[in-house]
Amino acid sequence: MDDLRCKFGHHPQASACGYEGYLFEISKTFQTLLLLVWLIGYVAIVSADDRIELEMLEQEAFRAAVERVAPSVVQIETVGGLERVGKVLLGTGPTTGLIVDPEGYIVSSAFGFLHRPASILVRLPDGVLKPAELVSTDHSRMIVLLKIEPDRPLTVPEIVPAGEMRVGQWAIAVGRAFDSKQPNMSVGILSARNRIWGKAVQTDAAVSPNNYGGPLIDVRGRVLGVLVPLSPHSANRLAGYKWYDSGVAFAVPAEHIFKTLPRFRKGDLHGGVIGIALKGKNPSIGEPVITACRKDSPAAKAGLKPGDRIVEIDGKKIARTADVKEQLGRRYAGDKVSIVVLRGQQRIEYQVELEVRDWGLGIRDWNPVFHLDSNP
Amino acid sequence: MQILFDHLAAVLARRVDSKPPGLSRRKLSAGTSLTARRASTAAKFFLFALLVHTCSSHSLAAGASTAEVLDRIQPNVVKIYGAGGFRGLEPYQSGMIVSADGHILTVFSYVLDTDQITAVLADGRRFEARLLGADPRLDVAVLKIDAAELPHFDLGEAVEVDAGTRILALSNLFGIAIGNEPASVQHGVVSVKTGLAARRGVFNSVYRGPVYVLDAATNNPGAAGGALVTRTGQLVGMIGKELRNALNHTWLNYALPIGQLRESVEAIRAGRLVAARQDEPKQKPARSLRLEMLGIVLVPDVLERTPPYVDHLRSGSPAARAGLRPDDLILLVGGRLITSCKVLNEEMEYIDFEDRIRLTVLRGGELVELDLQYSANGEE
Repeated sequence: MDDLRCKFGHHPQASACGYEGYLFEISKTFQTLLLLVWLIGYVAIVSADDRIELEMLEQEAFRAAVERVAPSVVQIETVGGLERVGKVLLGTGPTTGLIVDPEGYIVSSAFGFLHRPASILVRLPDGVLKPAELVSTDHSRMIVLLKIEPDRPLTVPEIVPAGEMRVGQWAIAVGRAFDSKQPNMSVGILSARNRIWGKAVQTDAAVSPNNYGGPLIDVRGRVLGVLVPLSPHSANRLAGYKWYDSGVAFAVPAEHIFKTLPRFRKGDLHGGVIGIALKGKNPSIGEPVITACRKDSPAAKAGLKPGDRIVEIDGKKIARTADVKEQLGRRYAGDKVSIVVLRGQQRIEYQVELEVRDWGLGIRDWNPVFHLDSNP
Repeated sequence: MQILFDHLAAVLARRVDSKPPGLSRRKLSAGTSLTARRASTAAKFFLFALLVHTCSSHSLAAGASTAEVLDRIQPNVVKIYGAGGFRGLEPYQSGMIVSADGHILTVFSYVLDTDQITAVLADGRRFEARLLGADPRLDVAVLKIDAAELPHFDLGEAVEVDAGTRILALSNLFGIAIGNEPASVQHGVVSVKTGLAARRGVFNSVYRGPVYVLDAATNNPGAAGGALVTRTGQLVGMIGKELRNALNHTWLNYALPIGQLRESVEAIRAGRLVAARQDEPKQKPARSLRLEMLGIVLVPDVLERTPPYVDHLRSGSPAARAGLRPDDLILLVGGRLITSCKVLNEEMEYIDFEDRIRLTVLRGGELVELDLQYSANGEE
């Protein structure tokens, strides 16, 4: 956890700072305090403007936050590719990416790569242009991992540990879609945590192709998550896009991205599927009783049977269908989970290894009957 | 109160421990974090004093001053009614009073294409408005109503702002303020200040200058001509017409900086319209450079966005001599991104056949730059 908290990359000037830098910082602090004293004097005289002064301070904080993350926010251009996916006309970018590794790994939103470009170019904040390779795609969270060969170590941003996030805190969405030299920003709050089965956080800041792939940051410039179009109602690749700039937007938590990075570098990640159907159509009141196990599915292989009532997943109590989805929806194929079921009076524990859903067509993505293909 | 502390501490902490950027936190923890802590303690003390002061001397009317700002400037924004009303063309837009004797700045649009333009003030007073003049290159117009001592914005006092500036947008979006009532107010921040002409064909707009992109849904039917102001009520810009970004198909929320419009407005008011100071879109030359002239043959253009790979080169041609090779992917021409064969051919039309051009190509994972020039004297 600690190393996640200290995610500062190498910086060319890092070694140049010692005691003198420290003195410099102190003098800066005094300057700030002097400014503050002046400010208070001013406010005391014109106290009707107190609220405005607070707003100005907040404005300064927003700017400072964006400035702080900016060295890790890159612009991405694509060449070639499809014109549309389904009925949706796709853009040609530019889109935004976030540096996650000093050696050249960059994450972005899969939305900017749905047109399967022939070539990808990354423009670093210092203006240097680099060709990029698409390493892998996280199909469950719609994130892509790119790799460039940088000339010197890149700046990795500081992140906010998931446990520190508070609903209502400032959340600033940052992109680099208009101008490669300066980031674009929109301001909102953190609307919710643990959305879409725990896969994302929610914000009301304006989020669109103008900042998909960019970071959602806190007022200190630390990364809360990476902005992606997602929807709790559909796993369609374009789901969530229709909500652009609507006040409903999602970001995949930065902590998750850094944790899964070693695995993500090795290849694609898919939502894990168990292959069961549960009783009832409404997940919020449905009972977690298995009505069917798909042939050859992880559930069937493990030994789960129709009629079993799920009571526990990985130690978490299960009461409703929605609880099952919440426990499984965020998992990847290859993840192992322990599932405790009640068969008659008997409690049985099974180990199930989730798989990629490969039986594909014929199942509506979020049909509650089959909702436990767990890739909502 | 805690929020206030947090924010000030954040500003201070930023000043203290963000410089130099990228320095490891561990290295700083001994000295700077302590300073940061002291700074934030001091900040808390001062803020506490501040709050005691303001709470004791004032009623706790939170947001009173934003409301006061709006009380002051809302009368400067007017609703304009004119032509339209069919096929999705709303017969209304917004405007702002820019002189005490009734000059109104607004966008130049079909709404003004009638003899009967009505301006309705925030207090409900209605005036017949006359189109004094328009600058079609900036899409701005100035109307005149016969009135005196009107509340107004002074264009000379308009300010320039940066990304992150908190703003208020006042307009009659969607024609909601249908009665004797002021226009609507929205809030947000300036997302970025950028040029509309950064890439060719992205925005179908007459105006090509810089704009303030906003993070609020300001640019809706009827909003064009509305005012963009800072949270202290300083005029910043005029809300523009609805525009769609052709690159990513999203609607753009933006305002035109007043500084870009001032000269035209003054000229129209004075009865002399001068050419606006702005960059004309680049004209195509009389004789354009073509790929054949350089000896470049691309792969067949069979897809919607065929990547512009070099298929082969005519031997001895300028491109061959410059070192271009088959299978090179052409990415940039003179710094402009080329996303397909089609875009490459379009871009060439803007280049004079005698000009030297710089190509950036992708070759085996590396970017390679080449300078090419057509020579009319033939090839060796």
